[in-house]
Formats: sequence, C-alpha cells, structure tokens
Amino acid sequence: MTDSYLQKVLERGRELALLERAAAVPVSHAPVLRVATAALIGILMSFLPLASAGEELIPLIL
Amino acid sequence: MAEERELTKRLATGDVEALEQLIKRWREPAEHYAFSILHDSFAAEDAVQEAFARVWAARSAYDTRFAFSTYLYTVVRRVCIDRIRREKHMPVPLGELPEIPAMSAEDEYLIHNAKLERIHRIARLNETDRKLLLGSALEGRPIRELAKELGLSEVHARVRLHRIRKSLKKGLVYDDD
Repeated sequence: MTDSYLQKVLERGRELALLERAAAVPVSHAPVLRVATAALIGILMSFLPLASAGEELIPLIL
Repeated sequence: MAEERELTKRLATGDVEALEQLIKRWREPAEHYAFSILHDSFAAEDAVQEAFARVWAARSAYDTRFAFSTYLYTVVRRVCIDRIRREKHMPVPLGELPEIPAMSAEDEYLIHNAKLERIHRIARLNETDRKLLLGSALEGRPIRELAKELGLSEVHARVRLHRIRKSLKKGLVYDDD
C-alpha cells in the first residue's frame, strides 16, 4: 500500500469528521432575534401614536 | 483473529498504524466486493477508499464484537449504494447501472450505529453544502459572504443550511440539484 493511499483515507475521514462537528454546532438565533425585536419596535411605533390619538378622542365621544 | 481484534481496538482509539494494517489486509478483497456491485474498477477503488474514510471518521463508535471484514463490507456496500443512487440521477443510458443490492439483516443491525449512520449521511452532501456547513458553523463566516462565493442568494443559502441540519437530525438525506 502506498503512503499516499493512507494519507488520502485520513484526509477524507478528517473532512467527514469535521462536517459532522459542523452539523452539531448549534445554530445562532441572533439574526432572528434582531429581526423580531426590530419588528416589535416597528409595531409599537406604528400603534402608539394611534393609541394616544384614540385617548384624545375619548373625551370628545363622551 | 485475536490479532485483528487487537487492531480494531486500536483503530477505535484513533491509532493510524492500526488503520494502515487493516487497509493492507482488507483493501484488495474489499475492492473485489465493490467491483462485484459497481462493475467498474476505478469506481470500486474509490468506493473502498471512501469506505475506509467513513470507518475512520466513525472509529469511536466501532463495535469490536463485529469482525472487521463484516463491518467494512457493510460500509463498502453502503458507499456503492450511495454511488449508484447518485449516478441514477445523472443522464446515463438506461440499463448501464447495476441494481442496488438488497439490505441484509446484518446491514439492518449495523445501520443502528448512529454515528456511522450520521457519517454516511454527511458523506452524501454535495460540495456546495459541505462548504456552506463548514464555512458557517466552523469558520464563523457570514452567510451573505458564503452565499455570494457559492453563487447562491442569501435566502437560498439560509434555507439550504436549515434543510441540511434538519435532514441530518431527522435521518433523511437532503437531495438537491
């Protein structure tokens, strides 16, 4: 058996082991959390002025 | 036999010399076996090399109760099946590919070796998915950058990564393009 055959086996084996490790790394949810926070702020920014406008209308209605 | 058991024990601990001895002993008969499935000597040689690589990658889970030949032949058989399946997706004239051999009871038992099974599934990932997985999980590179390099949209790259992880977890291999 040539030494290069063994080296090739080791190299292919190492790549598979590395991929297995990569697949086990937990996914970072940071971008998802950032998007969710931004969406929440957006919703609040849109509804707060409406809510305060509504409050001003209450005395007029009553 | 006792000597081989010793070699397999050493293999399980990551002894390269033991792997070398096992390759010396089993490479040729394994290539004959692979040839009997693939009918192509070049493909058979490559399949056996891939099988040794999978055995090495999953060495910590090797069950020393099994004879090494049984274990290796099961892995060779699986590599051959993967190859036939992959080639069946390619445009080749009908009738040129051998039939996929049926799974034996021994295969069924060995398939429950979770680590080896995970390695089999990972080995079936294509080059793009391998780069995506390694780049994002181990090198910590931004998906946007990886996507650009691989000629994918960022959304597509994120979806692919999600599907790879999900399929590996679920036990189904994600076959795409």
